[in-house]
Amino acid sequence: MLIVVDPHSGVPVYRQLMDQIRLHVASGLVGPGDELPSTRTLSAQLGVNPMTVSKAYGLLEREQVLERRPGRPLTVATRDDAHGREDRRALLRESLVAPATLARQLGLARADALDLFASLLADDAESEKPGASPDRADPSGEDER
Amino acid sequence: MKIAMLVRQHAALRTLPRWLLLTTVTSLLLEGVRATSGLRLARAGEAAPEFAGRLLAAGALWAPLAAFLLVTTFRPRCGEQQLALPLPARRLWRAHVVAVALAGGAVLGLAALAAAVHDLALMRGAPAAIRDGVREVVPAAVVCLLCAVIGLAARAPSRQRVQASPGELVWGLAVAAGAILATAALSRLPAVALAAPLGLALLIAWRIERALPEALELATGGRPPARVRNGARAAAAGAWGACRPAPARGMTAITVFRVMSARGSLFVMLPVLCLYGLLLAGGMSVLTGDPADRGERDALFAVWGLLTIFLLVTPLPKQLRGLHLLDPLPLSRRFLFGVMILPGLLATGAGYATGAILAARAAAPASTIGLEVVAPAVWHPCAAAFIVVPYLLLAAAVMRFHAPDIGVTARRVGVVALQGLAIGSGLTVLGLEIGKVISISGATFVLKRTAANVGAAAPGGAAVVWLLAGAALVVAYRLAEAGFRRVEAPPESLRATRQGCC
Amino acid sequence: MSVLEFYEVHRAYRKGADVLHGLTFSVERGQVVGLLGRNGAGKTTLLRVAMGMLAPQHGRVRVFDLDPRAQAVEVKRRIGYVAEDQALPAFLTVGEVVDLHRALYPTWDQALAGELAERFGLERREKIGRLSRGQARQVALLCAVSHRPELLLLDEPAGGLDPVARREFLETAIRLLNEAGTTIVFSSHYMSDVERLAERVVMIHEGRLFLDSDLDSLRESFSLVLVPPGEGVDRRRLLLVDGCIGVREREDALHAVFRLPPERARAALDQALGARGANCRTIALEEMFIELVGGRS
Repeated sequence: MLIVVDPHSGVPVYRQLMDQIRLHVASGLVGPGDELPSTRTLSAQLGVNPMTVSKAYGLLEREQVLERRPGRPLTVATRDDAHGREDRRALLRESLVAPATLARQLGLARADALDLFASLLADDAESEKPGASPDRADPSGEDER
Repeated sequence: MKIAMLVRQHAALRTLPRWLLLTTVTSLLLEGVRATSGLRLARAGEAAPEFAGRLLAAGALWAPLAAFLLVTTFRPRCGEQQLALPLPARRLWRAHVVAVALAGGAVLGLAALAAAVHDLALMRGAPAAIRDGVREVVPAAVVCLLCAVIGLAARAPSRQRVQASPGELVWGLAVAAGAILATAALSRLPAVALAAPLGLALLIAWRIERALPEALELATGGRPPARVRNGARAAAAGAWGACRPAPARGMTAITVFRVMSARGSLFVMLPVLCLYGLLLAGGMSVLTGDPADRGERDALFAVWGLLTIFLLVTPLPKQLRGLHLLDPLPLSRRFLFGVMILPGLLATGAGYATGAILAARAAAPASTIGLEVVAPAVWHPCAAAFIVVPYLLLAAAVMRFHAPDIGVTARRVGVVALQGLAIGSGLTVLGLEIGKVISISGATFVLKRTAANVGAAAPGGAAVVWLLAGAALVVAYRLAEAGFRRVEAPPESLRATRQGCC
Repeated sequence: MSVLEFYEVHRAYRKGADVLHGLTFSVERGQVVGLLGRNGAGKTTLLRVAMGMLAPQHGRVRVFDLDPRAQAVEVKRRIGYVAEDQALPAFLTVGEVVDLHRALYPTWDQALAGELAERFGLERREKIGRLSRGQARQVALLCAVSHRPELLLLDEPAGGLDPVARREFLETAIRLLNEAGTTIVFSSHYMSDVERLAERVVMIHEGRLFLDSDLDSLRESFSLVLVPPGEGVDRRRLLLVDGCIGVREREDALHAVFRLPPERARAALDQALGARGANCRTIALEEMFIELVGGRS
């Protein structure tokens, strides 16, 4: 697991863990049924309090991103397509809030901002990894307030 | 920075007060030895060799002085902080020499004064050779002091401090020994002739100063400090292994004792306490012959009093300072108390035993060897006990006030004195009673001497009550954990002297 | 079960200056508490009182439900203590110090001690006085940790250490947490260490408990708001806004800390003062600490 913890950001560590694990799952770095490192291992690896790790795992379990079968360690849950798409949309939405606010603050016209976003997506289209979902973000008003 | 300011800040002057008491005591002691042995020889009609007499006189002055110079002033030339200031090395070196000369002069002056007082008070009837013995060597001593100071400072003058090594030690001892011999030798010459060595010393000092580089150098000689190592080192394999045998039980006490007695005071304290015991048993009188003159004994008693105060003031505070290193450890107060007290008591006991054996061997009846004090004989064991156990008592009283910087206040000393009297009396009574029961040949003659003095006057009722109360106190005395308080001082940003590192 | 309990603890210097003032809090088993406060705020005194090295003038201290002064030896056997200003005797060797601790603590684990010693690269025969500061601190840590204490009290344990030593320290503490569920109370100026290790934060200011909160909710429920001055917006009026707990005036803006998440802080600000153009963001622990405590009288 390629998780990095930044203790200086304003985001609590457990939240960072959750976000990055969700990203791992959504982008396919860990597949359904893959085992996750134990609380102890991950906490020792990352240098964080094991309670934080277990809190993150617990919350993800509640969100059904991870699952714990009796007698087996914590694994990635299988999500059907609809849920999977929703997860990925949610992830992207979270990181779009800031640019949206910025666009408003800068006073850019909506069309300008959307063009900018489209061109960035086009740039990355060539370097996009195969296997990840090619779902385009919906350019309708749904992603902006 | 003016020289005067540098001199005032010098370590030699700051540590001077602690040495004054030791100086007085040592000087008095040695002068007493010299005078009484000379007196004894004179009474026996023998003439002491002149050079030996002067050597002893010089020794009476130089013993504390040499200790002072070698222990305190030899090593550090200036503080590390001062190296960072824009001061030329010459000024620092000159300030060092001046400071040490002044401090040494103070020590020398005090030693001479103590000896003079001793002679004036006790040697009035003595022949001139003995009475004026010390006075004659003083001028030579002063000159030799300057030479010694310059000689010590001449060793690696461009270093900020002299590194502790065998070579340095030899140099220091050689200078000190040479100074004593030179004092004895030069004192025979007229004062004018002393100008020559003085001039020579000053000339050498001037040459050294001229030759100094612009800046003093930090001394880092010896092994380089340990570098940080990453990961597992190929240290001695199995050195840290789990199968390492557990440390022996006695090692804990020894380690704790070492921690509590910062290195230096250990070597000062135990021999002094041993000497104590020796004096008390009357061993001193054996060394100086048989002092028939009561004045001698009074002088010796006064010396013991001073020694008591010395012990109260010097080693104990250092030990208590060492205690704070052990704060977080689960050591009970009783254990610490025991570790603090036992070595001192054992040393005193050993000295006492030695002195008693020496005295008994001198084949004189018990009642004439030994100490009679001015006070009535019934108090004699109490007084002796009071002097024997002050160490024990101050520790007991003061462990209630454990603080990094413990000071001796009138109240604490008063508490100690009272407890001392009571506990000492109690111990003595116990000892006497036990002595009556046991009659091992070795132990009997030790106790016989004390008993003989006690029996000289029948104790009154009040005295008996006092003694019994003391005995009861010994039995009932306990160290409560809760009574052990640490006194906290407001935080300092910069500590001038620290024990340990970090 | 409460491992450490302070109740209305007062402690003053002899001359009358208060160090701790009516301090009340308790720590449960297995918790990790970060103590924050400026230099001289009383953190060191607090830890020393917990250790029984100082006695409070008023109030009550209980460690493992015992009085740390009356039952000092028993309490100390179960505590590990590392302090920044703690000096190990310079003339002892590493081996002697470790052996001393080994003899004094009945729960000593020599295997753990050996492992840590090899990891830190310590040699038995090295004198403490010759070690670097970080290594000496590591010796202290080794001694404090190898007897698997139930409670670990750390007074700025990482002060003056290089980053590698700091990380090793942190990892050792986490290991203890994982293996033994040790309760840890530590004070530190390195906020990143606090954010990694602590689950609860206690802020002390001038001897008083200023803030006692879960670290995650602390970060989530606080925000930093930068308000440009003008438009009838000043420090006093900002302080009156519901949720504002501290304001600092800087050259070009007012820095306010709100006990609300950023969006709700913005809403409260809009509602109360109608101030637009304010920058509301989440706040890292160090910034929060500075805003709350820096420059206060």
